[in-house]
Amino acid sequence: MPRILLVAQDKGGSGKSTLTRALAECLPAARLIEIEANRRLIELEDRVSFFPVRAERGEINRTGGAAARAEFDGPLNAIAAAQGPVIVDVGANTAGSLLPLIGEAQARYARRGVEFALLVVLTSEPGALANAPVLLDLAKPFTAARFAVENQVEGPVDPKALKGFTKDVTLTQLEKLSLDERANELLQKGGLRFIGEDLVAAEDRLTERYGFAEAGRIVEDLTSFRARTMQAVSPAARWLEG
Amino acid sequence: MSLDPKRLARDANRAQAQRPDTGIGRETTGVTRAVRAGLPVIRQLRAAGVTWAAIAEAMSAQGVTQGAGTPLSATRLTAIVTQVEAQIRRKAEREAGRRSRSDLTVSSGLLPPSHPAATSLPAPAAAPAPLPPSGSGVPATEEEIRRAGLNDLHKLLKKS
Repeated sequence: MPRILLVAQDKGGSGKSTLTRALAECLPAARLIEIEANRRLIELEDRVSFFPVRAERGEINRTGGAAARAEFDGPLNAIAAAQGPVIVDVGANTAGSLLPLIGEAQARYARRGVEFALLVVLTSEPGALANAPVLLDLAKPFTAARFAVENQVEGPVDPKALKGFTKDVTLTQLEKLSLDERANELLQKGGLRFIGEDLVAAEDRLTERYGFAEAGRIVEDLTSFRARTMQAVSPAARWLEG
Repeated sequence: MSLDPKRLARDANRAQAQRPDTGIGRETTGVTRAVRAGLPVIRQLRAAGVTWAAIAEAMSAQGVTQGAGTPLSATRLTAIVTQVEAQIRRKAEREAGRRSRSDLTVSSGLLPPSHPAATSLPAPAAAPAPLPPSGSGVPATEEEIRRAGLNDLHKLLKKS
């Protein structure tokens, strides 16, 4: 039975793509769907089906939203054709439009045996904090499970604000980790994939380039970051695995 | 120094005639042209599950190379496909923007008689945005910047 995990947060820069990458590390056999203005998950190569969100605002207004609805035909079709676990990275300013369309098609997806879950990213940034419960509510009617990851990159979220998320929502934390500057640079270039696949074997190259001490920090910081992000998404990964 | 206008016109026309007829001043290799022409087929192949590497290899076999005989790589191919798609998207957005401008809407009854066919003529093809010279190392899109960064990383890790 195909399981689809939607990773969403309409506020940009919340860490959706990082958590999507962590899920991809947890489930190497899972396919990915990326709905974004531009490709980001390039290091994952052919595992990713990319669908650009490109409906121009004027066109959407003129067509009463029809242009935006048609824009999602690609990913909606890809979800319907899923054969196994699929991770969907829903780009910024997109989930609020996409989730209702999935909800409308829920019965038809169910006939195909497709199950959905939602993973919402929340940060202490007010826009992200306000959007998370909206998306969780939108997804409630058609999801079998809902997850929230508190990304503490901008500091911990006010515990009072988190109380509303605990009911029926599995909440995990991703603690802020201060990375070595060079490690962060490599992370931005390569995502998480190379950390698991190539980093340890490349330690001599890094030592040659950056010196013994910094190379050690790079390997340690990146390895730790990958492990922590995978830990933060592990409940959702377990659901996706079935 | 004074210019000979007749000679200037003659030389410019000759130089123009010797240039590839692309309409794109900075398109320095045939890869972008080939991708633009073959985009529908490339999309069909991708939809059928054919990998970028296989498509790049097949294009190389037909002489579409990225340098002096260097086979087209999957990375380069996807970057150019993204560029071409972005150009098509920008063109569509520009045309949609023009359609929505009330100041450009002219009633056909007001058209001067010298333009009787103005509304029935197909829209002229908009010139695509200039591309950076192939192999110049100047990333043009967000995806190209990301791919350049990933390539740097792979070199550092000696993956490629």
